Amino acid sequence: MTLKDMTPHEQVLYRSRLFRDAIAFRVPDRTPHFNCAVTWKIIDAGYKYSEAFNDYAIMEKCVRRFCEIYPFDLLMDNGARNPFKVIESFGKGYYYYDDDSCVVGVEPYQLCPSEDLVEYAKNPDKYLWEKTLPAKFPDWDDKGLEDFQRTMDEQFAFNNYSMGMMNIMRDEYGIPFANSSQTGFPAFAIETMFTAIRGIKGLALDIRRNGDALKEAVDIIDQNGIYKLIDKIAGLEEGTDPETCYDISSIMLAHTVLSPKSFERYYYDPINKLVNTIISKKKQYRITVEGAGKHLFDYFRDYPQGTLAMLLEQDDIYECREALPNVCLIGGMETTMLNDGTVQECLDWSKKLIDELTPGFIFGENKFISYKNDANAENFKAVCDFVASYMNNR
Amino acid sequence: MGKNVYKDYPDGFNKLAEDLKMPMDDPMFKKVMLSMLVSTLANN
Repeated sequence: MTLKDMTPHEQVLYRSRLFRDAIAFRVPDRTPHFNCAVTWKIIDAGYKYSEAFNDYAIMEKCVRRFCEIYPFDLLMDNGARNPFKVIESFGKGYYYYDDDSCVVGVEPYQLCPSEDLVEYAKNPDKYLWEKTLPAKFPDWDDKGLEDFQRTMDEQFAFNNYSMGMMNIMRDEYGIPFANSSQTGFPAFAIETMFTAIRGIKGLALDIRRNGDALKEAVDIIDQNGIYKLIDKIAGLEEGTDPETCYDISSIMLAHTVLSPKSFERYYYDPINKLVNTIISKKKQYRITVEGAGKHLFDYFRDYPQGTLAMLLEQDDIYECREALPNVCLIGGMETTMLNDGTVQECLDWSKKLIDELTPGFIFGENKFISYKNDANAENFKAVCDFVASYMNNR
Repeated sequence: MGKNVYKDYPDGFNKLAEDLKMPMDDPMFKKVMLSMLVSTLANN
């Protein structure tokens, strides 16, 4: 039976199975495609960022069009990556976009200074409410119920768009949810330090100058977050969710400023306990490794095959296969080739990746496809068509 | 003095959760949603 003959629910089960087989190092019916298109969808549909970010009906059109033109098995982004309307209804945010240059960016920011790390960790809601938000919004003292109500309404509109789009993709296009709702998409404390609490520069300085307070804060946040999730996973039934591609996912980005010694101090204990718990419950875990992670691969080498999948960005996928023969690798399709190469070069490279890396491989792009020059539409279409039709049992 | 009467934590925060209109009138739901909004405002 081909995908065309299946109901959307049958397609969800089929596609989920492709991912589960790939992570388990079984040869899937065909190698699945985790499509990393993000804001590129908007440009390809002929809209400006300002139009799609400010009108959920336009954003839905962009995502639907992408689903109908470019076949794939899982999509990185459903158009709900940046809640611009929520923040803009309240004040000035850190994120920005520019229609002319087709850029989405973020100003450097931090939620607290180094000396407040432990205070923040002990009660983040209190700290954000009494210190971070008043410092961020100059008119905080003048905000009234109508301001909060307007922004809360925008938050619900954003949530409704996001959940609605996920349901449309599942129920109309047969695209599974990425993660099981029981386990989800947690963040380790050191990652939140990197992306928000202290920012890249702040975290790098804290590691050198304020390591003890950083360690105390990380431990408090992880005890209230990731370790509670680990306990919850330990109480779940064994086995994978048949309607999702992974049981749990997380993003690694902080490792780009961590030496192996720092990784051991701030990261290894919770992630090792999480992986071991997932192994014991026979579930599967995807880690998106942004930047390069090669200097830390030794820490992931000894887990048994069948549990871990890693989406790679800057690491060479063939070097990773040698370094991590136990980990299902996601990626391989370089966006420089997608944009600058010929159709034939892209197809030859796609075929080589699937032939040489399966089993234990999920096809994907090596970065989020965000900007116009991240992919040539003709090449991208040819690659998506090829991966969706290249069967492993040929 | 401004009109923000919700500046204290937890009293002002809890009062705001109570005052906001939401699709569900459950107090716990309203606090969770307000926490989500605070996170959105702080991180975006």
